[in-house]
Amino acid sequence: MNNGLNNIKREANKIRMSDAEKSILLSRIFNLSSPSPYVSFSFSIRSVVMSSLVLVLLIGTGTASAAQDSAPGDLLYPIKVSVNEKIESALARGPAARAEVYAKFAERRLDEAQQLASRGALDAQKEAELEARFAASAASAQEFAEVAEAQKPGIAVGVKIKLEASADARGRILARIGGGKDDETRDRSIALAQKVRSISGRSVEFNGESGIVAVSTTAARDENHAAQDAERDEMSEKAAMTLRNKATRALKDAREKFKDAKALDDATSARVDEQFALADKEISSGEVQFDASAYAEAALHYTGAFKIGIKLSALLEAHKKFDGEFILPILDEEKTEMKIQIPKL
Amino acid sequence: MGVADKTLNKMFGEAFEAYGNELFRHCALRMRDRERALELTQECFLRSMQYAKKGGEIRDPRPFLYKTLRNLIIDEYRKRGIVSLEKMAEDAQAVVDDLLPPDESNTLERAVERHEGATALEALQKLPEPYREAIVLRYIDQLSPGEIADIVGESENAVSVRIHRGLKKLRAILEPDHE
Repeated sequence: MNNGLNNIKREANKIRMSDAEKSILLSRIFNLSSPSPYVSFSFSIRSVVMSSLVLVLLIGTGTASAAQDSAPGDLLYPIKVSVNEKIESALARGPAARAEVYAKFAERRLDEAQQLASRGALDAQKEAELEARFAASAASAQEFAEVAEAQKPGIAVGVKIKLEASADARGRILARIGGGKDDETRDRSIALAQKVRSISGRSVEFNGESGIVAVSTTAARDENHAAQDAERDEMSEKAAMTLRNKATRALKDAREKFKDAKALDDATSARVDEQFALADKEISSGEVQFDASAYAEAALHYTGAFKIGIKLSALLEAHKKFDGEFILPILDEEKTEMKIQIPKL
Repeated sequence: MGVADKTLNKMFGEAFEAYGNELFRHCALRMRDRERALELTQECFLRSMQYAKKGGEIRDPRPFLYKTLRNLIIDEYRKRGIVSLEKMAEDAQAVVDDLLPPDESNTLERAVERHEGATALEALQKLPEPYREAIVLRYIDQLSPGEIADIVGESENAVSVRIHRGLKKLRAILEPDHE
């Protein structure tokens, strides 16, 4: 009999609200403490979108829009994650679009971490929340990408590369922002940066000031890259094209940000130009391989260009938003990393 | 005397973190309808906050929230009309999966795993009220007979008897060949 009760208890404990449901409930309880008869209480996705849209009308598009700049701990943050982002993901048509949307959410969590670190407001609770949300969005992005792969070859590898490159660049920026703040912010920034960068299987030790002190590859990284290598070996023409398109879009985005960047000194501008030139060379090499029907080799070059585009976008965004130098130090960091890389653990 | 809005929000924010999930779970097990359980959980917090805003005193949020939720569940049963015990038992079949959180990466393996565990929970779903309420409050919500008595507005003795009878009925469902 005790077994029966234990089984019931164990099974019953699995019945819980999802994170999304909790967020929705919380935002409704505190935003609707005078309940409106106009808001639907249904929780199905379609109804969530409809009721979210009604909520946006009630609270005002200005408020919903202001929520986009919020971070954990801010009053409007629940609106951002459980109203605005709910609408965004529900309106994305098909698994490929949803993969892109969730990858964007994952990047946003890291941008929020940067924002909090710059204010000296990144504490343990917010770090844990952001880490969990980042991991959940990254996992959703990859799952949707895998579902989309059949119709859109190359999407799964593309999403993985985007998440890896984005986590790498944004993690470095986060560590650098937090490095100059109080002890707790510095420690939380470095810890979170290491955790999100671990999706690339790369173990990196930061010191608080200048960045890395040691880099090592782990078995997880080799496994991850072996998996990517295997995927590239099986790369079809369509998949290689998908990667090329992603690379050219990422570089275009980075170039626009470069044009809008506030005054960069000559040395920094020159280094950014160098990176663009490197990316263009990768694209050209990719085209040569593509024309020779060597799709796996083409994909390798496109991947290189794609990563450069993502990295430069993240660096230029950070340059625009935060005080301090990011671009040169982080590009230098990468060069140093290549020199001090030690054998795998 | 009313509580200042900021203090109120803090109190209910903490109460939601501490008890939100267990209240939802309790409601889901009683309602056997996930969406309705979410709505009632929300309504439970909203009503409790309104009560506090109007000056009502809440000494201990947990039993207060349970009482509020219980009243909402009773209203819900009344709205649904009188339901025979047999029909309630039939409705218990195959609804457990609907109570679990949405899982977009569902695999066959996980579905099978859930089904085996779900058998035990289905037994609970077959228990008629008010025994199901008593067992859920005691063994899942982990409330003492005294706390349950306070929530349901009956004597502790009456609650203990109900729990005992509920266990007997549950045993009969789980172990039908047991003498």
